[in-house]
Amino acid sequence: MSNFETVIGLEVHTQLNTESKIFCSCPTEFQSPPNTNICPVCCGYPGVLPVFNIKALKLALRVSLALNCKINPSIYFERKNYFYPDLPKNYQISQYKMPLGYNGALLLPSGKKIRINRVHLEEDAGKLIHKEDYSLVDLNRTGTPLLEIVSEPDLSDASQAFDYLTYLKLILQYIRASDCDMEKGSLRCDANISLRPKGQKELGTKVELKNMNTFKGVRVALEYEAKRQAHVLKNNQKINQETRLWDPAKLKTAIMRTKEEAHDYRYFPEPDLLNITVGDDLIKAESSNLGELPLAKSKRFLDDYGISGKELDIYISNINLADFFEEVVKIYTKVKEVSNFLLGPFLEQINNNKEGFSAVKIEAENFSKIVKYFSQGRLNNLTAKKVLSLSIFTNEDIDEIIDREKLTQVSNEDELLAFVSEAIKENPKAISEFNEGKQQAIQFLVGQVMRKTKGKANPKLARQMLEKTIKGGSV
Amino acid sequence: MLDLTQLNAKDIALALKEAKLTKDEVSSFFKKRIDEFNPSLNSLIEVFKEPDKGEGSSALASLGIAIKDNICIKGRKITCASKILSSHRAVYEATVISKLKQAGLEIAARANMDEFAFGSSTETSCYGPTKNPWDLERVVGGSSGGSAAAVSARLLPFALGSDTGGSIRQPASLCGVVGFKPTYGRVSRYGLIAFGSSLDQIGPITTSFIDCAHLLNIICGHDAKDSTSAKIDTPDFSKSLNCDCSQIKIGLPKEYFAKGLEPEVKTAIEGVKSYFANKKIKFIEISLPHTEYAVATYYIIGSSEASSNLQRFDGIRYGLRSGCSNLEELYTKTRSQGFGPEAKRRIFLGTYSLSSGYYDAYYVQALKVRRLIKEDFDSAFKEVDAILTPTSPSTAFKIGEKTNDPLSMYLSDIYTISVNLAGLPAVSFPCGFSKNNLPIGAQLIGKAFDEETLIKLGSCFEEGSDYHKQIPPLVVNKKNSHE
Repeated sequence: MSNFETVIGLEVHTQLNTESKIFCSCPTEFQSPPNTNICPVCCGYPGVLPVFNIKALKLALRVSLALNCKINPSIYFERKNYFYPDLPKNYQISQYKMPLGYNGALLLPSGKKIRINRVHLEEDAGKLIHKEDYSLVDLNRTGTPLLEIVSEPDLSDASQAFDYLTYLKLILQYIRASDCDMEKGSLRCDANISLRPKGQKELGTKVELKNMNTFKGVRVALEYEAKRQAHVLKNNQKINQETRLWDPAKLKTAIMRTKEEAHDYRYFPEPDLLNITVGDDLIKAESSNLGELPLAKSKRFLDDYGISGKELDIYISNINLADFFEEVVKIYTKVKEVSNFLLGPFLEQINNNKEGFSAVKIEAENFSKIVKYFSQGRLNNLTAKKVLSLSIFTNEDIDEIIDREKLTQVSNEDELLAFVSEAIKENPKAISEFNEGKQQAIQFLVGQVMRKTKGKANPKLARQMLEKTIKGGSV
Repeated sequence: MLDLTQLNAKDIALALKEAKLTKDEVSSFFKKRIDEFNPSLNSLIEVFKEPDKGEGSSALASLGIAIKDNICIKGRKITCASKILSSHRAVYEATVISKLKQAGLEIAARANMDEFAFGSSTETSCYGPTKNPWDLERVVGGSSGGSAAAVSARLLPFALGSDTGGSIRQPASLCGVVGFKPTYGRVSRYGLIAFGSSLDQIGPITTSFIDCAHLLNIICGHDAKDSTSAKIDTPDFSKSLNCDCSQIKIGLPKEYFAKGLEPEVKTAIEGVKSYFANKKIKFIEISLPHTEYAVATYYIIGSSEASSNLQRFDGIRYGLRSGCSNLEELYTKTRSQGFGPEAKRRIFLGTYSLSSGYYDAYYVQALKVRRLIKEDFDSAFKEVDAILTPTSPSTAFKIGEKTNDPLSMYLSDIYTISVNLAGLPAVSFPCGFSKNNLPIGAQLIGKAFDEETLIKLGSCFEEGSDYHKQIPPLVVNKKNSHE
C-alpha cells in the first residue's frame, strides 16, 4: 500500500430546495404516494415542453458562489441521451459544455483546498422499484432540480473524501440550497479513484464507484477500492478503466460496466429552451443570500459568546441548534446557562426523536423560561427535564405545564419539614453513619426527601434542613 | 341552399351569424362531403361523431376544423400516423386547440400525415397514403397531406398542419390551397408532437388568404408553456388583407430558378411576377448563396433533433409495447415493430450525426451552415421586403414514384427547407395549373415576424386571380353544382 498514492475525485448530486420541479410546476414533495406529483411534462408525454424554474438557477448560483466558482454569464441546457425506464423522455436535460459554475474551490476546516471542476444544473430521474419478476416506475422524483458538483482529483484518501462530503453538506445546508439528506436521496455521491506510484505526476487509470448510500459507505468503499487497486498493481496487473458498484452488504466493489460499454450520450443543445443570461444583478442578489458560512459563524460564536472546543463544533455542525441558541440568548442572556441546557437535556431529547430537530416546536421565549426557572431554583434538574419533555415538541406554555403538573419546586421550610422529619425517622442507619462523619449519608437522605416530594423539593434547602436537624438532635 | 364549396370560411361563418344558414345545414353539408369523398381520399383519419365544441366567438366561430394528427386534442386519439402510437390518447390539450375552442371553432377531425411528419408525400402514414383530389393516382405532398387534401376537396373549410421543412407549404402547393408557416415562435408548439424542435411550427391551411389571416389571428400569440414562443404582440392580420402593395419590394433568388425546376412551374411563377409588376411592385434579383447546402443541413439538424425527440416512444409508459422478457428486448421489439422505415431512417441518421466522433463533422458543421443560411436571408432582407420562389420544383408526382428513392423525395422540399432553418414566415398559394390540370403553388417568404407583408401580397394576388377558387373536378358534388 505504502508505495502508492491514492487520488480521489467526487461527483456529488444534490437536490435543490425548490418547491416545484425544474421544468414544470409539480411539487418536489418527497413523501407523496408513487406517481402523484406528476404531470404530462415531467412524464415526458408526447408534445410537452419544458419551462425553466428560475428558482433552481438562483439556488444553483448560490452554491456556485459558495464554492468560489467562476460563473458563466450565459448558460444553456443540453440533452443527455440514454434509455432507462426512470427517464421518461429517454434523455435528461442537463448541462455539458457550459456549466453554470467552474474553477471553484472548497477550503476544508483542516486547511486543505479542494478544487471544484464544475457545478451544473440538471433534472433528476425517477425511481425504479424492483420486484421479483417485474419492476415498477415512480416518477415523483422525475424533474426535481439537481445540482452536480464535481471536484478535481484533489482528495488523497478515503477519510479526506469523508471530510469533504461532510463539509460540503454543511455549506449546502448553511446556504439553504439543499436538505442534503442521503436517506431521502437528496444527496448522492459517486467517486473516481486511481492509484499511482508515489512521486509520479501523471494519474493512474481511474475507476468510477457508484451505489454508496451514506457518507460512511463512501469512506468504506474508497478504502476497499484503494486496497483492491493496490493489490492489482502490486501483482503487476493493470487497472481497467471501468465503473464498479459498491455492495454495502458484501463490503466489496464489483464491475458494472467496462469502458467499452460506456454510453455515448450524444449531448446536443436542448432546442426547447432558450439560452439563459446569468446577469450581474442575479449574481449580486445570490451573493447577498449566501448568509453566514461555517468559518464566519465559528469565529463569531467564539468572539460573541466565548463558545469553543467541542461545544463550538456541535453548534457549527448543527445550524438549527445554533440558530435556536441565538434566539434564546437574545431573550435570556446568560449564555453559559442556556448553552448547558441546550447541549444537555435539549439535545438529548432531539437525539431520541426520529425526526430530529425538525420535530422541535418550542419557541425561544417559552424555552427561555425553563432555563430561567432552573437558574432561580423554581425548577430542579428533574422537573426542568420533565417540563422540557412536555413542551419541546408541542410548545405548550411552560407556566401552564408547571401549574398543571404541580412541578414548582418546594422551597418553603414549613412544607418540607414533615418530609425531612420522616426521612430522618425512617433511616436511623444513615443518621448514625452521618454522625460518624460519613458525608455521603446526607446525600442519601436528600434523595429520600426528593422521592417523598416526587422530585419537587429544593435539594439545597432539604440538605440544609437535614443537617441542621441531625446536628441539633431535635428529632 | 348555398353551395358552400364556393365560399370561404369567413363568409360561411358570417352567413351563420346572420342566420342565412343554420349550424345543422353547414355541418350536414360538410358531413355529406366527408362521407362521399373521404373514403377515396383517405385525408381524414377520424371524423369525430361529436366534435369538441368551442365556446367563444370570432370571425370563424361555429365552423369545424381538421387537425393534423400530431397536435394533441385532449381525450382524443393522437397517433402521428405511427403504429407506435396507434392506441394513444392525448392526456392534455395543445395550446392551439385551446385557442381554437376559445374562438368558437369546432374540432371536427384528425387529418392524415406522414409518420411523425417524416415525408413529403403522406405515403409513410401507417393509415396508408392520402390521395390527391386533383388526381387520385398522385400524392398530396406532405407531411400535412391529409390537412391539405381535406381543404382542397372542401371536406372542411380549413385545417391546421405543421411545418418543419415545408410540411404545410408543399402539400398546399400540390393541392392548390393556401398553406402558411408562421415565424418560428409565433405559434405555441405546446402539444405539437415534436419532430425537429428548432424547426417545427404550426400553421393554417385554407382556401384563401382571408381565412388564413383570420385563423392566424386565433392561433398566434405568446404561450408561457413554450419557452421558444416569442413575447411579441399578435397584430390583427385581417387588417393586412387587400392593402396597397405598391411600396413593397420583392426579391427573386437566382438560386431558386436554376436546374431541377419544372418549366410549367417556372412559367406559373413568372405569371405571379408579372401580376405583381402590373401592381407597380418592384422586383430585385437577389442571391441566397448557401441554398445548395440547405437540404443536407436540414436533414442533419432535423434528424438529430428527431432522433432524440422520438426516444420517448419506448413502450414503457404509453403507446405500443411489444411482448418481451427483458428491458433491452422491450425497447428493441417495441421500436422495431412500432416505427416505419422512414422514421427508422431518420433516427439512424440523427443518432449517427450526434455520435461522439461524428458530432463535430455533422451536427456542429450543420449548425454553422444554418447560421450562414440565416445570414443570407438577413442580407437579402436589407434590400427587399419579401422573396418570391416556387414552393415545389414540380407538381404532384405519382404515388409510389419516389418511395424507394429517399434522396429524390428529400429534394421535393428544396425551396421550403431554408425558411425553417432561418425561422422565417412563408406561405404557399395557388398560382396556376399544369397542362395535366394539377395545381402549382408559389411561395412568398417574409422577414421574421412580418407575416403581414405576406398577407398583403397574397390577398392582392387573390383579388386578381381565381386559382384558389378552383375545386378539383373529382370532388365537385353534382347535385350541389346544379342547384
